[in-house]
Amino acid sequence: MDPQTAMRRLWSGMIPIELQLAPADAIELLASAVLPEPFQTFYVLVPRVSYLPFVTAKIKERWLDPMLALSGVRSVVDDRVSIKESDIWFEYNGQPLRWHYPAGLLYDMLVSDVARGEAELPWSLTIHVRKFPGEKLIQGPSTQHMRDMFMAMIKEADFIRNGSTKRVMDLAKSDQMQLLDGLETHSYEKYFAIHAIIVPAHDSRMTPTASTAKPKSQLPKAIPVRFYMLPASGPDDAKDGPAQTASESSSNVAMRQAVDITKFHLSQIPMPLMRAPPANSEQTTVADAFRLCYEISDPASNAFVSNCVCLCQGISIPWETPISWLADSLFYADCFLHLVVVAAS
Amino acid sequence: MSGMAAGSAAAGTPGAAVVAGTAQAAADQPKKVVVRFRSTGNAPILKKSVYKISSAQRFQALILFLRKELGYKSSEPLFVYVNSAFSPAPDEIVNNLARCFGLDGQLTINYATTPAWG
Repeated sequence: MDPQTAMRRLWSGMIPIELQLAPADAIELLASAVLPEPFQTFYVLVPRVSYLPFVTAKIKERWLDPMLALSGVRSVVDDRVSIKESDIWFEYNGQPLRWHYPAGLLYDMLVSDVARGEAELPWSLTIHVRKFPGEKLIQGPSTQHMRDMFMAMIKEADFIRNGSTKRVMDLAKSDQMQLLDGLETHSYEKYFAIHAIIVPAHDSRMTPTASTAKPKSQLPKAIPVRFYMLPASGPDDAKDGPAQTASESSSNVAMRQAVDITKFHLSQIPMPLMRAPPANSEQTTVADAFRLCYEISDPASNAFVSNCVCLCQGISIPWETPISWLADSLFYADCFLHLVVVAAS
Repeated sequence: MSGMAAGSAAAGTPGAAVVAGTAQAAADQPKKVVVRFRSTGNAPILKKSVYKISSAQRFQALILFLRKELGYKSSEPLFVYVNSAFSPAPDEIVNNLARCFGLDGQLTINYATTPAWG
């Protein structure tokens, strides 16, 4: 599969999400934990590369607002029953979801069965419209806030790739808007027309000798890579795991397998395309990248290769894959490679 | 089957132990990052502009530290950037920022009272 085809297929990857309103919020809004028919559950498809704040407006408009209106809650302007977009948050297995992470990344981190191929579909989430957990999530999610944070991330990626944010900063305002609109409305054509300006295609499969013939500007200095590694849990972890935050909404979910998102260790460095001398004619592999990120100096140390799974875009990636191959097609919309490392079953 | 998987992870297979140990070492090391604060526009200049900050902190902690040094209340606007270029998410780890965007072991933080970049 050529990178173009892979990019298009990844872009069209969607996660079906099944939403329930948190019972406590339902009681506050409707004086009943049971929602009226046909509003009990809401289903929505979220693109893996997109972000939750880009779907909250639709969820509110098509589900929550009509439900309030039809439930005889007349004064929608009344503060006690109105719903603000910036108060909306999502929960899975008792844990608030970080809204500034791509949806696909959240799914790879939290739905532990991904590594075993028994995915949870649809992904069952609880939506909250009250008591925003400000100590666990960045305050004030909104479409605009998400757009701002996304631009910051894409500038970070540009800086790692090229040593400056020039490519992004040089975009015309209308191009920036098109990039963001393309992401928000999930339009491949709109988004990739601008993406191609920021990240010009290069052939990473070429040999180092061939690379010297190419203009140097075509090759990135480094690849933006971020690892999310879940250390093996100790026997004590069960006590203070996510179970304590389990609300009434998730008490029927088996908590023993819940992955605690706060336990992930995030590490990123600008990832060189080639190995360090003397092996500098070889491409950096995912295993090399992991060693570099976690400062494992012994190149022979590779127990993690057989005991851990590396997920990128929901796909289990062989550890010997060159990073530059992944960078060609498995990047998220913010131009980062987000790699999730969990223990293999 | 899934029970066994959870069990082996909890017991710590050799590989998982290596991974866990590495992460633990990285997290526990009392490493410091040299941070240089530079004011932009009308923002006041700090008496001391270079600090050593724990690398395990989040960017949010660095913003709060800067606010404290400036004597800024949380209601007063303050825009904080890395390398005159972008504002990282508040939950990004200072160590990762230093490794990606630091120069000669120093991370440059720019701050302004009005939006300055991007």
